[in-house]
Amino acid sequence: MSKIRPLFNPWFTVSTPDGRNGIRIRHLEVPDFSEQIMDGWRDKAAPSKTYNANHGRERGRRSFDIDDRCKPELVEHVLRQVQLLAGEYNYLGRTPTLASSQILLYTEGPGCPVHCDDQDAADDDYGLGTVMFNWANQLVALLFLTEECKDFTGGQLFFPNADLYVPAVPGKLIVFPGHYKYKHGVTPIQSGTRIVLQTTWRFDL
Amino acid sequence: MLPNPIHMVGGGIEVSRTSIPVALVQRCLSAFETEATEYSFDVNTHAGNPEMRTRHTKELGRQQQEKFGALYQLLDEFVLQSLYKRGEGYSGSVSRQQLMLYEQGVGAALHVDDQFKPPQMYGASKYVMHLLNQFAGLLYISSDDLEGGELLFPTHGVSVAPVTGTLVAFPSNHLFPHLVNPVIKGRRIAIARHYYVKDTPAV
Repeated sequence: MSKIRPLFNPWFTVSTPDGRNGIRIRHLEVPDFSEQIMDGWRDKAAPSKTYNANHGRERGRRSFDIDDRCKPELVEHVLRQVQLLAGEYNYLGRTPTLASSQILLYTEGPGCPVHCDDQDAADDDYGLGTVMFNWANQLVALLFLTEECKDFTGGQLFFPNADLYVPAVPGKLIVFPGHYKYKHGVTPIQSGTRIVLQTTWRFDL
Repeated sequence: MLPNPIHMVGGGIEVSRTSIPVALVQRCLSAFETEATEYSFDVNTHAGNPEMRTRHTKELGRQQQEKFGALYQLLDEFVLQSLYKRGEGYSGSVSRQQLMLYEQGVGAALHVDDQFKPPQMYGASKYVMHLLNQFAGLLYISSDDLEGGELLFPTHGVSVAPVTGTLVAFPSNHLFPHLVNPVIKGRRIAIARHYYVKDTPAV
C-alpha cells in the first residue's frame, strides 16, 4: 500500500469549523526591512517560483523572490500567528511546518492573475484535464511589508469569491487556506514596488 | 479558470460476463501477433520516468484498435448501464482508451486511475490528478490456457479472473486502488476505457 499513501483527497482543507470564510487578518509589529530588501533585490533577484513558470508572466507579470537575511525573523513572526490561528482551520493541536516562503517584490505591471495556492493546471506536462496539487500548501499567510499609496499605487490583493479587496499596510498579516475556494489575485501595480512575505504551512497529523 | 474538485462517482466494483463471438476473439488475439505493437501509454514514462512504468503491456496502433469498435461498444453499453444503476448521470465521454496485451510475466503495479505521484523534480508534496478520469470500464479477452493475470482490489478483497468476456466497472478515485497479478501462462488482452461522467443526457 505504500505507493498509494502520498496521494491525498483534494477536499481535506475545505472549511473552517464555524462555517465562516477562512480569511483572517491580523496586525503585527514587525521591523521595517524594506530598504534592506530593496538592496537585496538590486544585488540578486530571481523570478518568483510557481508550478507553472509562466503563471501570468505571458501577461507581463513581474515578481521576484528575494532571499534576504531578514526572512527567518519575519517567518518567526508569522509562525506565532499561524500557531494561534490553527484552531480556526480544524488544525487544533497540530504543528505547523513551513512548506515554502518567498519575499515577493512586485514592480510596475499587471499584478498577478487569479489563482489558488494548492493546485494548478498541469495540461502542459500531463495532458488535458490534469491538475498538479501541492498538499503541503494547506494554509497561506501573507505579510505585507510596504504601504499602498505611499510605497506603491494599485496592487491590491483581492479575493473574487469573497468580493474582498485588501489594502496593504506594513505588518498586516492575511491568512487563508490554499484551497480553491480561496482564489486570489493582485490588481495591476501602477507605480512603486509592492513587497510581501509569502509563506505556506503544512499541518502534519 | 482553475477546475473545481471532481465529482466522485459512487458505488462499488461491478463485474459481469458477456459472450463474445469466437471469431472476434480470434481476430483480437491474432492481431497482436501479426500487427506492429508498442509499449502502452504510461503516464510516468510520458513524464520522463520510464523506470516507474506501471505495466509492461503492449498496445496496437490506433488504426488497428479502431477495428475492434464492436468490443468498445459492448464495454460502453455495460458502463452506461452501470452508471445508470448508480444514479450517476446519463452519459460518459471517453477520456482515454487502451487495448493492451499482457504476456507471460507481465502484470501491473498497484495504482489508482485518477491520480499519481509526479517525479521528484516537481517537489515532494506534489501529486497530479486526472480530472477527466472518473470511471473505468474493462473488458477482458484471454487465451484458453491463461493462468494468473487476475485483477485485484486489495482494499476491497475483490479478485476478478480475466476470463474472456468479463466486464468490470469501477470508479477511478483513490478509494479503488488495484493491481494486476503477473500472467503465469497464456495471453491476456484488456480493453480499458476511462470515462468522464456527465450529468446531462447524451445527445
